[in-house]
Amino acid sequence: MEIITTHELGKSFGSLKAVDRVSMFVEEGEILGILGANGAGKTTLIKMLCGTLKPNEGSGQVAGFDIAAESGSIRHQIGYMSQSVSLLENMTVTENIEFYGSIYRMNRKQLTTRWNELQGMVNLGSHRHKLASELPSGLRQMLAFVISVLHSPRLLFLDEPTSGLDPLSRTDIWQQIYRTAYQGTTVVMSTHYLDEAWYCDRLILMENGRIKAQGSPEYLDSLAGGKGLVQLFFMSQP
Amino acid sequence: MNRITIITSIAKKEAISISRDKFSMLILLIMPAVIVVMFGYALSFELNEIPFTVLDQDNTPMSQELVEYMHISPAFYFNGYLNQVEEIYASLSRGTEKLVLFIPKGFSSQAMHNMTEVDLFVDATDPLMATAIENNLANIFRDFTSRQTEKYSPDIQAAGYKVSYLFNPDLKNQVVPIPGLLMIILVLISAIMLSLSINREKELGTNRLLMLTPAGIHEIVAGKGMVYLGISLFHLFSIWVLTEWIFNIHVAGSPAMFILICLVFIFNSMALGLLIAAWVRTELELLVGCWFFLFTPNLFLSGFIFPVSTMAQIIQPLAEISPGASFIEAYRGVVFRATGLTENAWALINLTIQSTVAYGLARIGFRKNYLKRI
Repeated sequence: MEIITTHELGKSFGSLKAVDRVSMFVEEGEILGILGANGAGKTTLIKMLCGTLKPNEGSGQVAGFDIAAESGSIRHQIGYMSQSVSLLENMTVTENIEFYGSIYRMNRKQLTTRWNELQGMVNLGSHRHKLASELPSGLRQMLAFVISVLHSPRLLFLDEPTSGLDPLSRTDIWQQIYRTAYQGTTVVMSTHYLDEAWYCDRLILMENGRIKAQGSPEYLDSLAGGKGLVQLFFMSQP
Repeated sequence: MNRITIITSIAKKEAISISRDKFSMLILLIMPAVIVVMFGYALSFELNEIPFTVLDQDNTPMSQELVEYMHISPAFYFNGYLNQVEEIYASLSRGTEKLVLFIPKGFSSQAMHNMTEVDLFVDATDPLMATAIENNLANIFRDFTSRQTEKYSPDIQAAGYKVSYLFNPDLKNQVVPIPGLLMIILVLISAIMLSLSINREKELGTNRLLMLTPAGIHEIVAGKGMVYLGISLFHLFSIWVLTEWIFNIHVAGSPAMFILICLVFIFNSMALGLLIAAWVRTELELLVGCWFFLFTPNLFLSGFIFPVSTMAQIIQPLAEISPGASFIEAYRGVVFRATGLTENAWALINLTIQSTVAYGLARIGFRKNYLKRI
């Protein structure tokens, strides 16, 4: 079942076409990776899918809601984590969790259950009384991830979630992404790390706002004539 | 030589940065001129067309001449005759007139034979203005007497006057700064601190995540606003208690009306603060915007330091619609003259309209600028 569908979706800023007639779909429960060079249109596409940016042309549906007209409803269905982690710096880990839990309208019992469940999976429990600003970058990213999945969203958008992390922290985050997808959440993520592209069920390669290719990692690899995704990625560079 | 080259390069870089930053250019080139022109007009202690009414029970050429003398003075503006003594208090209570001239029956006949006296009732809610009014009256009455002496007889007695200060009979000076200080405190907390807090979310990037949650901009603003409303109310009540306790200044009117006026002003300040926060990019721009568009007009154009009626006529309409002026006038009205809803309608409507327009424009700004940074 498709949880995201777009038809000829486009967004222009003046004369610049950031996203140009993108038609795509995402199956429920899959991990979709969006690849592309800087300026390829990945972030603009994610913003439109999240409902924070209105498209100039085309249409799209996310979790059954129109991205142009029902952005408020979309926000109830999604979780989001960006490359620049935006935590409440002068609040503790627990206070961050409690704050976002209340924003997602979780009651005390739901929040406690979910937080206990997540603490068991991520290494945040022992840091729960620390201020967010005192956490090392890997844990900050993990806290941002926990916040994005706190309310068990149907759909999780991750904008370069492992950017700037050491290999160990990246592995931790990926474990959680897999766990989240296993529990039924659909994951849409953009990444610059080509090795991470192999962890996705399906990939979309963007170039100048358009989809250059899409399919499984193996399929895209084959398009590059067996020279690897790296080659395909470089072929897409302007 | 090397050091000079470095300094020159930095100066060149700074000049280029400023010339390419429209906001900095605006501040550095245009704002000083605007401030000088705008506030040059405001900074005046000369009375200008203070509205007054007259109860003329004598109704003789001499009494009419006295009214004429006051009317031709640039300091005063004749706003009509009253018919009964009861109207004197009501006329001043409304706040539209600051002075009532009461000419008793027999004024001119007594002037021919004996000392004569008129009564002047002055609204003393602003003691500085009340004193300035009395000083101006002294000159007018001296000129009037001298004219009468020339006209009728060298033996004519001087027309004297007795001034009665209403609403603040002791001319307590503490009443001058209190509404202005309260206004400044409320603007600082409800406008500047709130807008700084909103802007900080933008600069720290925490708005990115918030705007992707079910929390919309209205919820964010309302949540933040609630805290600053609470702090503002805390200070409002503290100042209220202190003024009652230390300065012995009591709210003559309805406490509910007093709170309503303060609440409407707090919401107005919040809306104006949000408007600025919605359209600026950085904290520096926000602070300069708040200083220029909120703090300075409220300080100089509100009547806090210089009475609105002493400002140049060209600047008076601007001053009269400034939120600070509406607040101070309504505050003085309800605290000293026990004004009600009718008398404060203008202030309440003015502040509400401004709040609505400002919040509407802030919404557009947030939609354009707040989401763009996600």
